[in-house]
Amino acid sequence: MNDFGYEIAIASVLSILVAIIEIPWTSKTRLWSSLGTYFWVYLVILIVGNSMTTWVAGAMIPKEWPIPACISGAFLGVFGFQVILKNMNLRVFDKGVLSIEDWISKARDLAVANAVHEHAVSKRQQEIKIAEKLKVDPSLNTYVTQFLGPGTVVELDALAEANGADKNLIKAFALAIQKPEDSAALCKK
Amino acid sequence: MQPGVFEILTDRTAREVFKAVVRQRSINFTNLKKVLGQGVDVNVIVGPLTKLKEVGLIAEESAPLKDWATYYVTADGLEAERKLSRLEL
Repeated sequence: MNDFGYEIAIASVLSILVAIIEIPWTSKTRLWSSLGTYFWVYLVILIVGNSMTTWVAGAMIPKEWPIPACISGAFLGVFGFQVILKNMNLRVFDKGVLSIEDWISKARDLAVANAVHEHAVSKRQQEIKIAEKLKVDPSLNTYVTQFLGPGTVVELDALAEANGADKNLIKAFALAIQKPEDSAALCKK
Repeated sequence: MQPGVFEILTDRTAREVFKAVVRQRSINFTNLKKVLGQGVDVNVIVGPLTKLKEVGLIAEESAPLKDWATYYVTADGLEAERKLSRLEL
């Protein structure tokens, strides 16, 4: 593989690292929530974009530079990405279509939003699963008092009645939402 | 983005509700009330939440009780937030 090949390979690895840190961090979720279809689309666009900027950056590095060009080109291309791409626009028939930065932003928004959605849905599904198990547990009221405080049983029963909901389901749901780790441990008993 | 998005965000309460959801990415109704302030009237934020959902800036994961419903930002919401930040600068 020649220098250019190494540059692109290093830029691709750096792009993967950037994506697996950026999407969970920006979406405030865990990595496993982030790895949906839109994450991979964003990663492909990021790798293509970073490869282009690496190619541009590599040409700018002087031959006397002490750090091998394949490494410095890749770093400059990936981390100087934003600066370089801000000024690159796609034009079709001499009309501005969309700047590459807009494409990256839209792809990032989709990846982040998808991670947030997956996190919200899976969290709710976990809460429902726990609530369904705990609502039939004969010690439910004891758990509610223990983990949510005295008087909570009466409060939640009143709330369930006011909303026409099943009292045990409401109490179990309250445990699942407010004490997720404790209620998950109770389900394993 | 759906039309009418920025008209909704000209309303101060809707903007505060939207920003609270965006900041947290996902938040339940109880915590949203806390973030918006101790004395906030529930009825004042339910309207904006509904409008924000209608234009697709946020989505809702429902629950047996309203207080436990989770609101989270969508891709359109993230884009709107970015544009709003640029306007406010």
